[in-house]
Amino acid sequence: MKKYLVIAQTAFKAQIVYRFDVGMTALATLWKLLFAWILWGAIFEGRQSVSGFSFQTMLAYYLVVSFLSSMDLSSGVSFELSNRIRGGTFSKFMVLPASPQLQFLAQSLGSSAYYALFALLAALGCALLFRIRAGFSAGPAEILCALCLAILGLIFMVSYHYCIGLLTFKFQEISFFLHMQGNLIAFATGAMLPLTLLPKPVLDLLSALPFPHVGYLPAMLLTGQAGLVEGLKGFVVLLLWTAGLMAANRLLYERLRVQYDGVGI
Amino acid sequence: MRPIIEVEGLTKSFRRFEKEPGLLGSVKSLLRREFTEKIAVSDFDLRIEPGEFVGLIGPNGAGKTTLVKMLTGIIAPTRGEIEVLGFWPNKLENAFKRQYAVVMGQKSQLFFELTPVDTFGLFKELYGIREEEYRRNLNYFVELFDVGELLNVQVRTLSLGERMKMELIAALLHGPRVLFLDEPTIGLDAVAQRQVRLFLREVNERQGTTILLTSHYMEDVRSLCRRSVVVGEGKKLYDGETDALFRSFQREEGEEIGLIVERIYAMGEGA
Repeated sequence: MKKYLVIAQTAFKAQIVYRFDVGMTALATLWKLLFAWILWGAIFEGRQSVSGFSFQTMLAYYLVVSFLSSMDLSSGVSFELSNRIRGGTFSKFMVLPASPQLQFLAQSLGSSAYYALFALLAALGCALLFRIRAGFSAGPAEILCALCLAILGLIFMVSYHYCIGLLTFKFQEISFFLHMQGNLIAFATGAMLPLTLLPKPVLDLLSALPFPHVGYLPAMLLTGQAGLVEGLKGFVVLLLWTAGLMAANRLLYERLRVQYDGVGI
Repeated sequence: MRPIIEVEGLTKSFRRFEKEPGLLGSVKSLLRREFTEKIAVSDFDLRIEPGEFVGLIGPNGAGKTTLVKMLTGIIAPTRGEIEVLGFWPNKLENAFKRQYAVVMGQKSQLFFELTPVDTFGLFKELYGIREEEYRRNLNYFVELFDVGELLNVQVRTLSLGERMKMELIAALLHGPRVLFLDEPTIGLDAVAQRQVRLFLREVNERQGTTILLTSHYMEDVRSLCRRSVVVGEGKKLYDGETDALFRSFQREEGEEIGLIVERIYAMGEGA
């Protein structure tokens, strides 16, 4: 276990080198919130609430999902994996005495930890700037549940993108798929809009999937729009998906890696 | 004593996509794909004993790197028997991976943004090297290469030769029983090449590490390897003493390997 912790530390150290990029990513939280403020300000014009959200709660929701999505660097995993498999440099991960899946996981979480520092500062700044403290109304149990969901969500997203990246062994080129699924994931995690605005059958269907529990549910918990029971249910669903996907990834890797030709080196 | 590497009838073939030239060829290939089979390594037999320093030589595309990739488990053989350190390499068991190291001249294990010491620290944990052993090995190799002043410098700012020295140190920290080297001196200047050669000789003689070296540079093989294996078109053409190889098939000093291989073919001396 310690080796993966050191991989995460190493990724963290490597990120520190790129201060400008990290600073700009943190600023993205500000832009997203500014955009939400303008858009929802217009929608809330003359209204007190929309689907149970007050204007302040809506901004608090966007603040949480923006913070969580800026910490989520998992899409880089599928791009890196895909490029390395096609370019032959994936061999680097194969010859080390560690699981490639856990190496990518540790690497991504280590980088996320660094982004989290900046994103948190940006989120706190936004909360003060837009005066949205009133939008948060969660108790300690809900906060803890949201935190667990956020961490498990990051692990799930890395596993998901690792799975997509592994498909390169089979299909060689998966960039179209990588671009296409990005928007779908943003929608399903609630990063575009609160999923509660969708018709109930669609929301029920989405709740069986892992994605809403990655961004939408933690944000709903922190803004007091979802209760602890809902949070715990979501945690169990996400845990099952994560465990299942990681096991599936292991099998997929063992099955597909024999097709690897390691060309280009 | 059991050999460290034992290979029998080893074959690797790849399926290669081919298309006619030009735009029309590209469009046609969209509708109908054509593949050809390339046999990179064919019916290869090899046996390497512990402590040997063997040179694997051959022209580009001869199958040397493919062979190294199979021996390290990176790629799966199409058929044949292969055993390295008592393991089937492509199972990629951690117990196997802890006993060997591979350095490929055109590929790096180092983190470019960080210092060499950061990568060494990571390798210490990955290979479960004890603190005392880590310190001892690191000091030994750093002194041998005289790179103490470069340990805390960002890797991306190192020269090619300095980086290769760090690659070799990273690979040897855990005391591997076998070291696979694929073109370790490629692109290095004469001084750096000589330093790398001295280092490898020391590692082989003092530490008893078995080394399989592939190189285009005849001087690498001539000065380091008592035994050479010549590969051409995926087949073993010669397996024997390096001195005898050069005595029999080299006409001029510094002659390229391609010419030597052609001569072996012409003389029908394939192994």
